[in-house]
Amino acid sequence: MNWFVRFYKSSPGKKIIMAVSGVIFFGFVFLHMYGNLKMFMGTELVEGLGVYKYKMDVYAEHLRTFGEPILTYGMLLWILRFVLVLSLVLHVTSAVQLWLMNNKARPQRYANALKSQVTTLFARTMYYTGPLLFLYIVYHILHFTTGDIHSSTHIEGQVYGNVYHAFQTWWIALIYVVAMVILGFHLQHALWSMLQTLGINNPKRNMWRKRFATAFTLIIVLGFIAVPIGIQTGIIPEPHYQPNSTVIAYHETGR
Amino acid sequence: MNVTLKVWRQKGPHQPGGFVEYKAESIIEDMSFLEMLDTVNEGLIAKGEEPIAFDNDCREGICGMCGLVINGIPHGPSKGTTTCELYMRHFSDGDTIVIEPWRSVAFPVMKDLIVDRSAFDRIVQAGGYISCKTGSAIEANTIPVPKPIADRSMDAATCIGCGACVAACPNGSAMLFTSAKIGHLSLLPQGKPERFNRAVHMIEAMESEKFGGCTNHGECEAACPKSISIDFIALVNREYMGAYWTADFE
Repeated sequence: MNWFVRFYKSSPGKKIIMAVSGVIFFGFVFLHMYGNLKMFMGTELVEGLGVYKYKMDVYAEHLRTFGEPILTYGMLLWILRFVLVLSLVLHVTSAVQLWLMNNKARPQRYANALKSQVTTLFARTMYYTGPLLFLYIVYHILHFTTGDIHSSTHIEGQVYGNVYHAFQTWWIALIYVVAMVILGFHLQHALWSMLQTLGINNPKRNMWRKRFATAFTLIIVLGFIAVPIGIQTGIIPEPHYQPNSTVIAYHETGR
Repeated sequence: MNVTLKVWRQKGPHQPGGFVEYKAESIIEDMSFLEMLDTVNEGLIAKGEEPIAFDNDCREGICGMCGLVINGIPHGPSKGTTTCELYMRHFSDGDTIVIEPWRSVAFPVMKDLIVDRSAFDRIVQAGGYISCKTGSAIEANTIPVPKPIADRSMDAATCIGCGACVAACPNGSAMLFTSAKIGHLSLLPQGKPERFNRAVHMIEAMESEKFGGCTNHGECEAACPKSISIDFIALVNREYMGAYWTADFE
């Protein structure tokens, strides 16, 4: 493991680790955004049971049964959680260490501040958007994954209902919209930066890197904020679960 | 034209410094920035004051000695030029011009506007060369080098080691300098045998000088008097990963 210690000690080593974990996060947020859009897709008839379920709830359940029978129930989700937590630990540790190192590189500041020529607002705010996103992730997991925050309407398994009820409160919807804008700031610089750090650079095609970053930033941010906005504006209808039941189903109408 | 200068004055290393204001009067527009400073210094010497100390040598943009942060921009507002290639016609009559030395932990201020850049020499000593017996020159074109590769290598080799990349970087990183010095050799067949050692050793030498790390702002490329691209930083990231993939280094 000596080689890993030596690799990690250097700044390119830490940056490469940040880029690789960044690629994992990029894949994760993109798929997460895709899954969230099931909120707009209403219900589907479950064959054999004769009941309708919200596609969002089916999707959430499917994440647990995915890969069966090779994987056991919930296994894929736990593997993903493990990979994501490990990536987050590495990403944050590297970022903090690089930040401390960069802070020491200019102990005597410019008396007359440097004038930025090409850097962007997105790049300059990475040090702020990163920690803010970390706080948001903690909040988000306590809210929707464990149900510890805003728990009065939280019912395990009723994902559609949980999301709907949470975003009925305007300021909770606003927190999520603002968090996604912060995510967008982070992604705009991160998505092309990870390519640069991984050496994916060809002067003839480099214009595509920033286009790729802008396009996917917009897709991800707009995809995410569509849900709280959809609920606030009433585009996403109120859920009708069977009373006194955690079963994610209701009969008859199948709207 | 007349301009007001706010110049960083500092008696010696580790001593407190500060801005001192000077009037530069009857300046000709076609004077270079350094000639303007010469004029001011002549006035100071005539008055029996200590002249402003600044580095310079060739005064034609190829030696890398001169380098001042002018109004917050290393080498001043003109793109792709060194301080000596900056002319007073880039300024207007009555302007106030703020002049400060490079700021980096690895570039200690020696006096006024002069910094010690020997940290760069130590990075080059760590691997910025090709080990071979020279002997007499071999037949030209014995080793084929594709034209685009030769051109890219030359682009990196235009680095004059002035340190503007470090001065411009919000993190005080020397990645552009180091990547230019690694890149111009590692692209060529003669530089290939030692490429992975070179990448790892020069990066490690850079780190031991306490330079910061790259966060892809691109300020270095904008300040570089030779307009060296941050594409070379990506190239060095590839070299660095290649070293660890192959484990072909010491």
